[in-house]
Amino acid sequence: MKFYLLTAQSITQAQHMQRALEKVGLRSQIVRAHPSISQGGCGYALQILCGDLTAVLLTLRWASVEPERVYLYQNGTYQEVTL
Amino acid sequence: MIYLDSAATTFQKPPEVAQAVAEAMQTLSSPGRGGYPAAMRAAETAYTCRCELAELFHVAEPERVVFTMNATHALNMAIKSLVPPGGRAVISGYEHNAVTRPLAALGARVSVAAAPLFHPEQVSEAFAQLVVPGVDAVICNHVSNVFGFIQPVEAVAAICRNRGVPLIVDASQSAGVLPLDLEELGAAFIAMPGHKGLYGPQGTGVLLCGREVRTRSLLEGGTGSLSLQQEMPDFLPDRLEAGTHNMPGIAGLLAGVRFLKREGIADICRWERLLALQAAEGLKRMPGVRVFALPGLHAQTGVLSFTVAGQEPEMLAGTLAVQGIAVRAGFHCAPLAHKSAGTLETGTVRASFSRANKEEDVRRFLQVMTGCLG
Repeated sequence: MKFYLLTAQSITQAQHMQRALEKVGLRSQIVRAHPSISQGGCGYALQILCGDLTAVLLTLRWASVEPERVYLYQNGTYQEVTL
Repeated sequence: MIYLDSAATTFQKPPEVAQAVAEAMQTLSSPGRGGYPAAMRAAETAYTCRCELAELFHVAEPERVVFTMNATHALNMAIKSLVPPGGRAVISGYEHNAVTRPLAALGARVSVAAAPLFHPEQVSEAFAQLVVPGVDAVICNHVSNVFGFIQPVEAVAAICRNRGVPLIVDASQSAGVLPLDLEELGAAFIAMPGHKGLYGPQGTGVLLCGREVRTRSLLEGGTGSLSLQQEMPDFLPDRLEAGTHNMPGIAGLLAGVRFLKREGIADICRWERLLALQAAEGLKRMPGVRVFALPGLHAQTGVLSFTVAGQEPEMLAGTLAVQGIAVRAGFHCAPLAHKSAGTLETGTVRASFSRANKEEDVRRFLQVMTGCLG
């Protein structure tokens, strides 16, 4: 299983990102961020369900809300994606 | 009971508000704490409420809509973000204790932009004289809670923008009644209760925050974010929302805001002013009654103060209450407003209207008043 995770500094920021993506039909789900990717502890992340990271990031940039970091989850590990 | 005290709180809410509160008690836990369904439902409700308020008041980012306990809480946060101990503030002559007391507690040097009642152009002139670079904040209430006087916040905002002085608008009596646009005003903060013109439950309030305005937390504690650091987060809304949210309140507030949008602010204002005008005209015909209103209710919303010669306002309000008319009497937590209007010695009786009132409420009020004066 593999998917992208966009970390957010708060649940509110995660929701802002999710709503921005919903407006253009890009699906995502808000999840608790694993401690290994949560910068300050107790974070949330947006799990991208549509697979198109480029479209997601462009949409968020257009909406003036950007993730803290982007990770690829694959085979049980998190790898930061350098933008 | 005929309820004419909506300036205190809109006691008569649309039924969907209580339903939303009850449903929240049974289905919503705490947002931003867990990842299970009840927590995520709570988060969704809170965010939706922020979005609805952001749309209503033209705030570009919902994050800049901060939930508070009431307008007093919101005003305290705004004032203490901008005014340091001993700092300088310019205020209108109609401010509530929710503004004057925090400033007194700060030991602030306060200048009052004094102007007579129902003369907005003189309010603007007074602010123009006093607002100079170096003033830490200007605070102006949009509508007086005692007299319903609509102050020219747009003009005051322009003065503040031109002179680089941050503005705090107290929208306690105008949110949900008059249009308010945070971005257009360029205000640093707009504070409001959730339980008056927004028709939400008591225990709710909102602070709208301008772009890049510095904020100082009034309460420090858990935010559900950056838990490993000991400083409060430096981003909104978390920085100003320590502790567990009042989710039943926020759910009720969301229902209230949706009601307000369906009814329309302009229609609500028009209705309230119509009732206040009918009341004012009826009272003016009664001997010994002094009504604080200009013809046609110029520069005034649906908040109406009056006095009766030879009758203590509190005694009169008590008599009205016995006969099923709920009004407020006294100083309304706004001695400065009374000082400006010349009613500091006795205070006033205040009748204030909401969407829930009917014309027959005004007729009954006037009928009972006639009996009281007989």
